Amino acid sequence: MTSNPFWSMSANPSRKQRPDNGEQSGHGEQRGSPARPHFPKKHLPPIPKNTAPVTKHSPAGTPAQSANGTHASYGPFYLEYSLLAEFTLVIKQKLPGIYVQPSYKSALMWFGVIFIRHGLYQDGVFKFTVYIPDNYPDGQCPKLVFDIPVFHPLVDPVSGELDVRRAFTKWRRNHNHIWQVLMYARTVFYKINTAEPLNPEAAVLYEKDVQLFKSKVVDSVKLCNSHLFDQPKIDDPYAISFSPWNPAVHEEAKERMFAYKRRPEEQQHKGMQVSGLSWVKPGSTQPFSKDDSPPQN
Amino acid sequence: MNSVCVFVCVCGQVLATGLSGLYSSLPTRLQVYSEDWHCLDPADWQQVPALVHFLHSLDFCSAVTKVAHPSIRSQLLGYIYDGFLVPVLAPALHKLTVEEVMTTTAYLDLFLRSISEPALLQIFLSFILLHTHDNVYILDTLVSRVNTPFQLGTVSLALFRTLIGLFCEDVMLQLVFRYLIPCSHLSRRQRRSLKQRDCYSSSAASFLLLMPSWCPVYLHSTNARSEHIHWPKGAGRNRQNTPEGPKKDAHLNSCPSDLSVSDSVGYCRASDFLMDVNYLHYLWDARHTIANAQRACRFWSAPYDGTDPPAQEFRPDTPGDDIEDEEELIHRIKSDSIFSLVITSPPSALSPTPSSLEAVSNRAGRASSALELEWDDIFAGQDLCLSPSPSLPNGSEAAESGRSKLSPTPPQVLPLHIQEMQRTATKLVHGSYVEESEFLDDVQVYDLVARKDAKSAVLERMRAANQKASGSSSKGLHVGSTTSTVLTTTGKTVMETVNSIMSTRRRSEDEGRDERRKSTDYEITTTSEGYRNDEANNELETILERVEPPPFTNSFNVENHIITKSGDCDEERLQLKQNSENTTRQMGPNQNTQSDLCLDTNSLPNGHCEPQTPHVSANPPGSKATKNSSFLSQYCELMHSLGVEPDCDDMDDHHETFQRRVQALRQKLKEEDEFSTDFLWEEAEEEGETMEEEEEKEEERSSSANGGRRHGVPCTGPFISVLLSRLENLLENSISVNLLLTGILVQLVSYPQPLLRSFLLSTELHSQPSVRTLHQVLVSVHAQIERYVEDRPDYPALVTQAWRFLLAKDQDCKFRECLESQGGFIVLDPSLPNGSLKKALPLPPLSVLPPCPSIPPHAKSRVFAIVLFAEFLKELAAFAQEQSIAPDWWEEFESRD
Repeated sequence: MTSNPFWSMSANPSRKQRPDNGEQSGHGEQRGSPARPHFPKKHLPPIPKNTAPVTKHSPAGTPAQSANGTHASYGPFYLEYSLLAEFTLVIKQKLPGIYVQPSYKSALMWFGVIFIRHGLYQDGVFKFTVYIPDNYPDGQCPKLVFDIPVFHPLVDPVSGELDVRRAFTKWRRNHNHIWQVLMYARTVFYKINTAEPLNPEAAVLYEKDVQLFKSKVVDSVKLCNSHLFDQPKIDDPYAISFSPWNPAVHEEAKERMFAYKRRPEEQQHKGMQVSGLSWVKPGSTQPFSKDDSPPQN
Repeated sequence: MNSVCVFVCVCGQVLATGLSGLYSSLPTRLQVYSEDWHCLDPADWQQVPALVHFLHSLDFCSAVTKVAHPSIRSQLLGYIYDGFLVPVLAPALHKLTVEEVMTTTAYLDLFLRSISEPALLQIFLSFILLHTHDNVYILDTLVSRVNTPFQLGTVSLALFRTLIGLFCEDVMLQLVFRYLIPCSHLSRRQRRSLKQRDCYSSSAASFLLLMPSWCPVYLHSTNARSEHIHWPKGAGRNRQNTPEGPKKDAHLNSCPSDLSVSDSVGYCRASDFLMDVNYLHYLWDARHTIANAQRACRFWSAPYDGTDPPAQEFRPDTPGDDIEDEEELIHRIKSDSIFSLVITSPPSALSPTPSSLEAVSNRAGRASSALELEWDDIFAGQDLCLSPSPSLPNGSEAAESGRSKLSPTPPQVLPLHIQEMQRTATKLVHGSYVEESEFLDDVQVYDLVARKDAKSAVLERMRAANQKASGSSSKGLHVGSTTSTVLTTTGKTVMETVNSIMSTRRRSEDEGRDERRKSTDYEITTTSEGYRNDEANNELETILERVEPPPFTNSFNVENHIITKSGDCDEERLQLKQNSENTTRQMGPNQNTQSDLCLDTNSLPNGHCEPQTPHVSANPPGSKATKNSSFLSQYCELMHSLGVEPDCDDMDDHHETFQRRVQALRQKLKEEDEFSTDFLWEEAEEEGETMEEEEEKEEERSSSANGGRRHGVPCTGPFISVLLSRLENLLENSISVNLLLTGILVQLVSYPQPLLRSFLLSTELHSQPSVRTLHQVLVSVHAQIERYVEDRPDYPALVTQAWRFLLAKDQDCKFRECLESQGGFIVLDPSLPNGSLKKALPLPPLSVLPPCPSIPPHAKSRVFAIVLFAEFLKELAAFAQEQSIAPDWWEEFESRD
């Protein structure tokens, strides 16, 4: 699965997309579920399988005493799992119209796309990339950069970077999560904020001449959507790419998507080693409270 | 059709009796060659023809069960239950000698592992969970045996490993969850965050921080950072150069040729390769184990996440009640109006020390003979195998830790006089059976703890039964009991229960009398023994329980008494008296004076009555409960509160004097009790409803007073306590015990239920002082190891050597397995594309294993224990990390339905 088969859209990037989008959001949410058992393998294999080991056996020297040692050697694991946990949270949140996928190469880079379903930016499909600082969660807040700078007061017209920091002045571990950044990225398209803009032109237009602002937005949305089928900006197997609907390729995937509910169980039956047991009646906290409980005296 | 039925009946009977017959031909003792032996492997049982026959016929039963018509099946299962499990296996589990009991336990374990048919397994499990032998659940007996320091303990651990490995909700409910459901072990905040995940691996970090400070993981810490850095940095780049940036980076594992590039994931680059790579294996293993556990638990009835089953409504009921005794209970409520009263002593009298002593002595009185039988042959055979080395300060500490299991820190420096007191107590327990050696102390404490745990379990049930029986009218009373008594408890009745275990082993001829006594002492309304029903109806049950709020803090704190009565008020009181006399008489003959005394209190509820109940738990949670409640001070307090001048100083000198005091105290209690019983009784009858309201108020009050504790003093159940207390003894345990312990804990940690997961993996300091967490125990073990190694400079080198050897051996085993699974002998060729193991691990040629370091034999188990400890920490950390990202199992499979 190099590019995402689920993102195929109809060829005309216009209002006709709406039902598709709606549909996709539905599946997008589910997509996480069947994929879940696999996703860590996808982007962060727990074991680097084919790694040619570097075997520098150092003689058992004098032991270092610091507690930092543990953190140093296990640090990468902590970061990796922090990011995995963040991703799990994103999946759980089921953010409407937002899909992300960590990069194949680095868990610190996530690819995403956002579908705007109504409001000024209706029908906008904006691809973006989230960059997470490598001292996460103790560093700055993640960056969110749109592939194509959307015309928006809070989006840098050159770099496409969204002004996230205004919402997360200080990134607080345990309180701030990456899904909140994604949520914020969605919100800005529904509630326009013009204070301290990164794109002053957009801000001024929105304040002074909403009509012109609107038409600029429509242009921007069109521009973005016209580039939808472009190759991903970042060459990565898990970068999100769109392609025109091709039944030969996509029909099957779509079908699988609809059939997803049955799939997990099939998998279970296959890989099952232990099957648990329960004779507890739901709602009861008594053992063997089900009707078919064993003979007792 | 008829003939078929007849045939089936006969057939079933034949099967069941066949099982019994075959069982009787099994050896009652197994020749055990190694101390490490803990379960019957195929290699073991295949050598015993009788066992092979038995397993075959068990197989046959399985097969018949599988294919038979439901009615026939249930009949067959009934025969097995009534014809084999109850009459044959239950007594066999309660045989006279430890060896026999151990053998039976091993058989039971083997049977459980051999049964493939769920329906058959079900009756075996229900036998373990619901059957009571002499009023004690088989399960409780088994749990208490985990704590015996002999091979019986090891075998029992193996049995629990099997049980837990079944992922059976019913088993886990009885073993663990019913104690966790009330959430009393959690602070309010913790309860709220029960479903939250540990996003930043803080648990894992805390576990790994407990690595011994000199441990080899640190060897490479100097360079670790640079060698480990892994992903291309994302955040630093701006959009313009990102596209190019990653291109330079190697794909993580896409093609081996890229792997020399340094900024991909580089876990293997650490200098001590073997040490490090195995953390990845732990992670991998954890992932699969957790996924497996999730799948296995998908048929469970509830998520056990703190809200379902709801903490508030939960009553830790007697298992049997719900199912079959409910009607009977209801019936009895109607006819006899059973009430249960809970009387608790005010905080001022938080010190039933003397009574606990007396209780203990009572126990000893009855149990001593059994004890002798029980342990005699062991002492002969295994003498010193487990005696703590005198040079090891934590030898005695570990012994004590049994009693102080839940105290946040191990009681390292107890004042001398308190230590003395404890010793006296221990001696008293065993009455005539007094020996000074530390070994004995150790054994005794184990035993005590085991019994205490068993007791608490039984108590829970009794309380539940009471609550049930008392029905809606006396719900208020139930309140009292919840607020104050979800404690881990010691109760008279419990003690008697436990004693009864012992006494049955004694096989006294006055069985009938024994039985009657038991049924008067309390009643657990389950199971088969029909005689009890009759008796139960015309006899009143007195249940007294003694509760120690910080249950494991070296002392016994609060007294809680539950009195269950039947009949109307006056009659009640009359009967109560009669009964107490009765019982005293009954018990008297074969008890010593101590037990006699005890019985007095037994029928006498403590005089301090229940409105203060909440204060019991309001005893400030963090308030050095451990210290304040020390044996001695409590004793003094209690004496003072009763107007007796305590003479604490010479108390420890003569325990005769002490006993006299206790007697005096008991007298006082008796007087006060008579009064308070009356009072309470009326109140209970007249104000059932107000009490309910009061309960709520009290609950509020108490919960506001102690930050959300609503269900009394927190506890996590006997099984977890026993497990943790044995783990705390890691340095002294044999290798096999340690392997079993850590194995079982890992099994538990793989369970997906938030209640269990959060309890085991939580590393934050608990606000509940009486709850001992896994992390706390590990901290204690860590301290023990540090202290131990401090005095032995040669140890780190020794351990490191052993460690390397073990890891290399482990890799070697894995490699061989891998080779074998690939079918035959592929030449050792590291360039082979497939076997990730091969590629990832630089395997030494099969013959070039590092030699086992020459560890002095006496140090062996300790050296290996230290290695195991470090590896266990890694394993736990790996499970903590994987649990933090595991999908929500419950939502997952709910959405499937």
